[in-house]
Amino acid sequence: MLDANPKNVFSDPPPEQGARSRATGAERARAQGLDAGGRRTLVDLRSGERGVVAAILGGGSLRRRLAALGLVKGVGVEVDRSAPLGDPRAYRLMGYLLSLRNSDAARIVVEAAPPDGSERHS
Amino acid sequence: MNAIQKDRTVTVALVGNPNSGKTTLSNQITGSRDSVGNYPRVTVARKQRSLRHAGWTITLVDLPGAYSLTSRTPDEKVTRDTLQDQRPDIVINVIDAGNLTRSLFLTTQIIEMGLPRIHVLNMMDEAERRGMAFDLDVLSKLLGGPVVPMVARRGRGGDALLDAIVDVAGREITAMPGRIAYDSHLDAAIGQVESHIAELHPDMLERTRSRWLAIKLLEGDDEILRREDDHQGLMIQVAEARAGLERTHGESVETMLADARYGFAHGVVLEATRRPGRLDSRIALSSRLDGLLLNRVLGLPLFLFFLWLMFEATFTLGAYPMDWIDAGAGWVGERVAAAMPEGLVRGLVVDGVIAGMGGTIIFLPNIVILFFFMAVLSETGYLARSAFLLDRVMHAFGLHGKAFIPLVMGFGCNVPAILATRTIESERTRLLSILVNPFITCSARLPVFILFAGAFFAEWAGTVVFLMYVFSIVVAMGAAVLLGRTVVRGGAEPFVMELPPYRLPTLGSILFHMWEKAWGFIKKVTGVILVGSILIWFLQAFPRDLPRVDAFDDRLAALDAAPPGPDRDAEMARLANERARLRMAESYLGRVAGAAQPALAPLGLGWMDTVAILTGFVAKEVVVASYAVMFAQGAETTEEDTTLRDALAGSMTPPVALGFMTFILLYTPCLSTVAVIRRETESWRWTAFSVLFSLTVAYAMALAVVNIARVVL
Ligand SMILES: Nc1nc2c(ncn2[C@@H]2O[C@H](COP(=O)(O)OP(=O)(O)O)[C@@H](O)[C@H]2O)c(=O)[nH]1
Repeated sequence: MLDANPKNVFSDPPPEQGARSRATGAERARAQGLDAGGRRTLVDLRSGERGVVAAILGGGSLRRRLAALGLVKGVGVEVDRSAPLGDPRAYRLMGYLLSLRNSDAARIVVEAAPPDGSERHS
Repeated sequence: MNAIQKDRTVTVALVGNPNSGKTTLSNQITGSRDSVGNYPRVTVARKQRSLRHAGWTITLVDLPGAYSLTSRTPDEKVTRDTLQDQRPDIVINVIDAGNLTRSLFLTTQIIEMGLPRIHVLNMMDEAERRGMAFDLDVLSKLLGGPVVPMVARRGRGGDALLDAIVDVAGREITAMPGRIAYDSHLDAAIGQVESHIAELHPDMLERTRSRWLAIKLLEGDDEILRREDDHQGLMIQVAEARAGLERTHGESVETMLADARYGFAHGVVLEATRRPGRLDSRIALSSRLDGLLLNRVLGLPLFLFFLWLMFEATFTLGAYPMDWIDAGAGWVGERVAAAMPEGLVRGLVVDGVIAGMGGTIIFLPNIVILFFFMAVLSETGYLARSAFLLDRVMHAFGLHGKAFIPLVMGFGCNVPAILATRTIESERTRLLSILVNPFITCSARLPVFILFAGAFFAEWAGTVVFLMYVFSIVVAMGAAVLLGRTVVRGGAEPFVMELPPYRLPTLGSILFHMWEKAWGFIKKVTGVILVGSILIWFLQAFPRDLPRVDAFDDRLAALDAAPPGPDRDAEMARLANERARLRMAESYLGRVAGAAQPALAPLGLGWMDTVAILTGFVAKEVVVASYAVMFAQGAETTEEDTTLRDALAGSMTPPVALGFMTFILLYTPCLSTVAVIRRETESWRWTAFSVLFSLTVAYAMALAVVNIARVVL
């Protein structure tokens, strides 16, 4: 069951190798070809800033996991705070707190939140 | 499994998001309690309990918390497979009322599974305090199945839930189909895959099941795909449908499904909410607490402070009851010894059973206090924060913030700790966490450290024990890096974890948590340790017929007849000592240890220490018990009033003692741990690897420690 690599046509592209690299989450995501193409992602939000999820880049399994926790298109997300070492960060969405590593947050493209906070599922 | 009406028994499964209150609920209605945690997914293994209500026997199956029924984590796999393959009669869907939208994501999948269901709207107290109100009838209509509002923590709504179970069971419903509306193209694709499945599995009578399977296949659920792997045609159809949908919609199927599910959830919330919540004061308070506890500057120092406090309290507070137990065991031993005639049976009872158990039970206070703190940490929600605080550090060692909790739990006992690794999604990180966990010094090893540190480093005892803890962490982390780069390769995994709001722990659940651990320990003492103590006593008391030992008796008898005097007494004591040692060396245990001892000679260890190490394979508690038994015999014959500690102090040098502690710290965990490693890795290979690896590391580290200490001390 704990065999390293289940062979499956549908499995994700191999996740990042070498977690030891000093690269920031965003750089790493870019290196995997998951460039947000200049668009802002969750990591770019400052503490207290709010955004609306526009897209989630990358693998199906991360996408499924994030969806199960409420991270889908149209959801308003606010940066709550960072861990003392800067990574991971905690985000508030749907009224609860979710923590994400910056390398994963860099796959979540956001748009500016409407000023009246009228986005879906807030 | 639907034998419902005939014998009036019904199996219900509790499903819900982590932290929605499933454990509390199940404890409330069954009346017993075991570990309740405010840390996501603490209920690990599947548990079953039965209770009676209104003439029915209700079997309650606790399932691990899940956010979704896609096989992403081992926990979610267990939950999904149980629902899918064992088909409980009724699913109880536990929802945190204050977190409705997110909870309904899981609910949509329960609906699609089509099992008879009851929805529990838990934590109504918190929702009410926020001014929220729901239309339960609307909710029930939209979700299918009755809705029961509850406050599990106070037992409110428990009877209503039991009534609802009996009611649903009595109606003999075997399925409650339900549909989530999807985009028309997606729906068409589901329909096609569904009919294909129905052809392949004609035995699957219920349509909801093939529809469910179709949805999971299109969602790309690895497990389900693997199961259907031999149906090539189906696989191709699914892959083509996925690609087609992605092309026409510019979006992955996962996204389309998730969007539809949240759309449904959102609609339900809109329709069923009579009054939305005000800004949550609980969240505001929680946030202010986080401002302190997760503070950039103070967060980590505070965490270390709590950790330090926990250990300080465990050991200094624990010292008082330890003295009482020590005195009590001694008193009992003396009484029993006085009441029984001298002989083998007395030896067995006093030196085997009482000495062995007394020497182990003495650590009960430490364990109770330690688990008090663990319970408070997990109940308050701080345990999850600790994973958040430390993920960056753990990540550097190739581990995961979530691996921190199992590691910390390892300080209590490696067995539940290894079970707790089930919260880790990636199998690689999970395997790593399992393999390094035995290096984390469990509470059973603490007795050895306390004994040895006290005997050899009296003034520095606390520091030495603390250093063993630090060393334990260092070795575990080093091993994680080493293994992560060599035998357990693979990629990292995402860190996606909920931080539950802070909650005041209930005294009741903390007490029960402690009681459970204390009871577990006592059971272990009376079971494994009792057997171990008796076995060791037997091995060292037999064979009885030893001519070389008997020869001493004649010499002692001759001396006894001689006129008394200091010289004679000293000579008698010396002879008695020698006799005792010879007696032990020629016993079965002595012979086995004698054969194994050369291997440990480089560590400066003698045959007695070899005995202790050998017996420690059974359980680390037995190590101290072994010494107690071995020295009890020696003490008796030398007629000296020596405690175990003093006896030990004379038997080796401080550097060797440090090396011995190191070996005890690191070598193969107890049999129970080996068993649980086997169970969790599902692999004898990894189990054997774990045993050999820890033996090797223990030997190498102990050798290094002895030699360095010889130079330094
Ligand atoms: N306020 C409130 N807290 C609850 C209620 N039910 C459970 N809790 C608390 O919620 C936390 C998580 O509960 P637990 O049973 O461990 O959740 P599980 O992870 O689903 O098993 C614990 O701190 C409980 O004391 C409730 O009805 N109201």
